[in-house]
This record gives sequence, C-alpha cells and structure tokens, in this order.
Amino acid sequence: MAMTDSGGSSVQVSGVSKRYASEQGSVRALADVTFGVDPGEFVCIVGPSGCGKTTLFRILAGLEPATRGQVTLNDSVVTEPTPNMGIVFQEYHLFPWRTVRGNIAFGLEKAVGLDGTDRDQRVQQLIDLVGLAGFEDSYPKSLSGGMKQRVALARALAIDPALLLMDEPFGAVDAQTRERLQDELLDIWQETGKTILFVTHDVEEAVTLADRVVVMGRDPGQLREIVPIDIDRPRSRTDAAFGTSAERVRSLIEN
Amino acid sequence: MATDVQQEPAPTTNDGELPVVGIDRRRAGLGTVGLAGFLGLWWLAALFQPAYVLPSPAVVAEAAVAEFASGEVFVALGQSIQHWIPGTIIGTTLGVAAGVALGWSSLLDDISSPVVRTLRPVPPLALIGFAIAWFGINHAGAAFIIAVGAFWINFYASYGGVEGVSDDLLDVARSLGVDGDLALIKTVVIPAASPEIMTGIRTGIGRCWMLVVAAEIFGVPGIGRRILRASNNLQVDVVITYILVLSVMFLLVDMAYRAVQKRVLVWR
Repeated sequence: MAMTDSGGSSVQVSGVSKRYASEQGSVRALADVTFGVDPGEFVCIVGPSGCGKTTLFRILAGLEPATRGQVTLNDSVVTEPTPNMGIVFQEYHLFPWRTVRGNIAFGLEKAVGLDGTDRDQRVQQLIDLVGLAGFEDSYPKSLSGGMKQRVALARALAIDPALLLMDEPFGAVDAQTRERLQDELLDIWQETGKTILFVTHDVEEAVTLADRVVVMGRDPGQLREIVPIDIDRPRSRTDAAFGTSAERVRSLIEN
Repeated sequence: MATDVQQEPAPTTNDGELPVVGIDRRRAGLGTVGLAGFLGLWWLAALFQPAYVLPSPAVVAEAAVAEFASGEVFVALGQSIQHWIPGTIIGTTLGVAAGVALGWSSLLDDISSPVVRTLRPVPPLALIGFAIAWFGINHAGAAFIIAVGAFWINFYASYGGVEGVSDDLLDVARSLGVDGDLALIKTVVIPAASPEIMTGIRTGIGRCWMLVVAAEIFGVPGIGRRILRASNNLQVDVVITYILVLSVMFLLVDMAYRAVQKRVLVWR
C-alpha cells in the first residue's frame, strides 16, 4: 500500500458553549464559539492559559460533550473519538509497553482489508516520514521528547485520518526541537493534504504554521477573531509581514 | 526530513545496568557475612538449650540429610505441589479476572461492593470447614484454601492497577479505532496495568507457599503436615528442615518468576 491519503475533511464548530459546575456555581469555559475549517486547511487556535482552548480541543476531539452547540466533521456530528481524526497530545501518551513500531501500528491492527505485509510497509513508511528509522524497536522510555512526539504523530497518521487534532504538541520540547518539528509538520501537511487543527499558546508558532489563526482572549471562552495569515511558506520570523501578523494576534489576545 | 534525530539526547536503557555486577558481588559478600553471623548466633544459642527447644545447625543438618536420604522430603514436596499449583493458578486467574472486571466497570463494582467487603476480611483458615464440606480432606480441599488466599491478593492488585490506567491512553486507543470494553481491556487496560498485576501475582505466589502449611492443618498430606506432625513429636530439627525446604522452594519459584517478570516488563 502506498502512502495513500484520504485528503482533508471540513470541520464546522457551531455555537459551542461549555459550562462546568464548580463550588462557586457554574463556570463558563466556552461561550458560543463558531468557526469553520476547510478541507486541507491548517488552522491554529491560539490563546493564553485558561482561555478555554483545551476545552475546545477536547470537544472537537469528542472527548467531552459541549453544553450547547455542536461540532461536525464532514457533516456528521462528533460525539466521541473516531478514527476519522488523529489526536496528538502535548504529553504524547504513547503506549509504553509497545515499541516505536508497535505504537505506530496500533491503529492498523484491526484495520479491515489490510494484510500483514501492507501494514508493515505502511508502518515503515511512517517511520521514515517522521525520521525515526533505526529506532523501530525502541521503547518510549528510551526516546527523547521530540522523538516521542514524532511517534505520536506517526501513530495518528497511520489510520489515515482526514483531520489531525493537535493540542500543544510541541509544548514539552526544547525550542530548537520545536522549530524542527514545526518544519516537519508543515512538510507532512503539504505531503498528505490533511486538515490540521492545532492548539497552541505560542503566537509565533501559530503564525509560522497556520493558514488562519483562531484567536481566543483572556476573557474566558470568547473567540476574538480569526486572523488569516497570507504569508508564503516557508515563513521567516524576521520577515516584516510575519511581525505584523504576530503583533495583530498578540494585541487581540491582550485586549 | 529529520535526518538529525540523533542530535537529541536519547537516554539509553543500559545506563543503570553497567554497575549491576559490582553491586551484586558486594551484596552477595555482605549477605554471606550476615548468613554466617546468623548461623553463629543460632549455634551459640543452641549450646544452652535442649534439642527439643532449639537444635543446633549441625543437628538440623543431620535431620535434613536423613529426610532427604529417605526420600521423605520429596514425597512431602510432591504432595504439597499437588495442591499448591492448582490452588495458586485458580486463585490467581480468578483474582486477576475479577480485579480487572471490577476495576474497569463501575457498574460491576457497585453491584459487588457489599459482597466483596463482607468476604474480604475472612481469613482463608476460617474456611477450612467449607473446604472439608465441599471438597473433602484432599488436595482439592487444600487447593481451595490456597486459592482463596491467592484470590484476594490478585484481586486488589489488579483492581488497583486497572483503576490507575490513564484515561488519556484510553482516549488515544478510542481515537485509533479501538471500540468496546473487551477490546479496550485487551489492548490497553491489561498491558497498562500489567506491572501491578504481575506484582500481585508474585506476592500471591509467596503467600500461597505460606498457606500450604495452613491448608494442610486438617489432614491433607504434604510439607505442612510433616511440620505439624514433627512439632507434635517435639522433633524441632525436622520442623526446621521442612521450614528450610519451604524457604528454598519459595526462593526458587520467586527467582523464576522474577526472571519472567523482567522479560515481560522489559518496556518499563
């Protein structure tokens, strides 16, 4: 099986609100958030801690229900995690008892119409894609943070989801590794045509990666604005247009 | 891309393993010293006691040689094993299964909680009457007592292990297409809880060796029976011989188990 990829899917977030019960009564985490993502688009959700972006991520992934409103993926309502989306967490959440190869193969083991040889081939392609050749038989405990995140990314890609959902995936690695992982992710995105929804608190990261940046502010749960980033890739952080966009996003967060 | 993965520091697994040989030699040396000291103290104490209170190591050695030469030890061991093995296996299997099931399903947990809490404090020995009534004075009856002991240890170890399985791993598995309780238990819950489960099994195996003695109180032949009979005859040297046999058996089984455990949990 070649690296066939199903391309991206569209996402629609419609009027999503979330309230949590707490000792001080009901607390608002998200207030009427609405936006759409086109197939193949790279959208970053950026905001400070406590702005509700992780809640939004969990609702997008089907890990938590919205209090009101809904998320649709290619017109079907998201109610639970499905193989239509690959999820990548900041803390990797690799299966520690499986090797790199075993982690990546996890979602393929019950895949219909995929025999052993095809599966092995796909796993090997993914290992090469994320640059982990030579580490196939390593267990997660012996990998660095950046390598673990590459495994998590390959594992999510293995089942060929139309949407990649990533929650601060590069938040736990050093700055140098982060920049390299960003470049790699862009390469993979361009190669596979996946739709990517990427949550981050790092404005530079959002402006480096995204077609559009969904900005959430300090006021909890409010979507401030959606900022299109019309800068050709590869983007340079020293570029004037880059600075302008980053400044625009930052001012939206602060005000 | 990522041709330079190697730049990132990757902790190697052998870091802590190199000096192990040195530590082992040191430990073995100190252990020998401790053992010699213990034997010395024993010998000294035995000088002032009659043999039916505390026989000297030499007297015990003589008794041991006699028991081994007559084949008595092997007969008793063979008898004990006939209820130790089935008792341990059945109790462990049921304990792990129940622990995983109740640790996973809050519905099952809520339903069975009152029963579990009632039965939990019952010592296996209190069930001897049931063992005799249900199984008779035979290997099956003794195996029952042993199985009860193994059951609770494994039940709680597995229950705790399953409770500790991270929800995030389960979310990841769901997002990768694993659907349904059984599939999740098989692919995530049991592997994730395996360190706790395996520790429980190990503790249970040790406890079952101790229960061998207790389970033979009511007349089932084996090492425990030999110990009780020798006690009644004030043959303390024979008692100590069989206690040592039990210790050695425990050590051998435990060592073998740890070797297996290390292989299974190589990923830790």
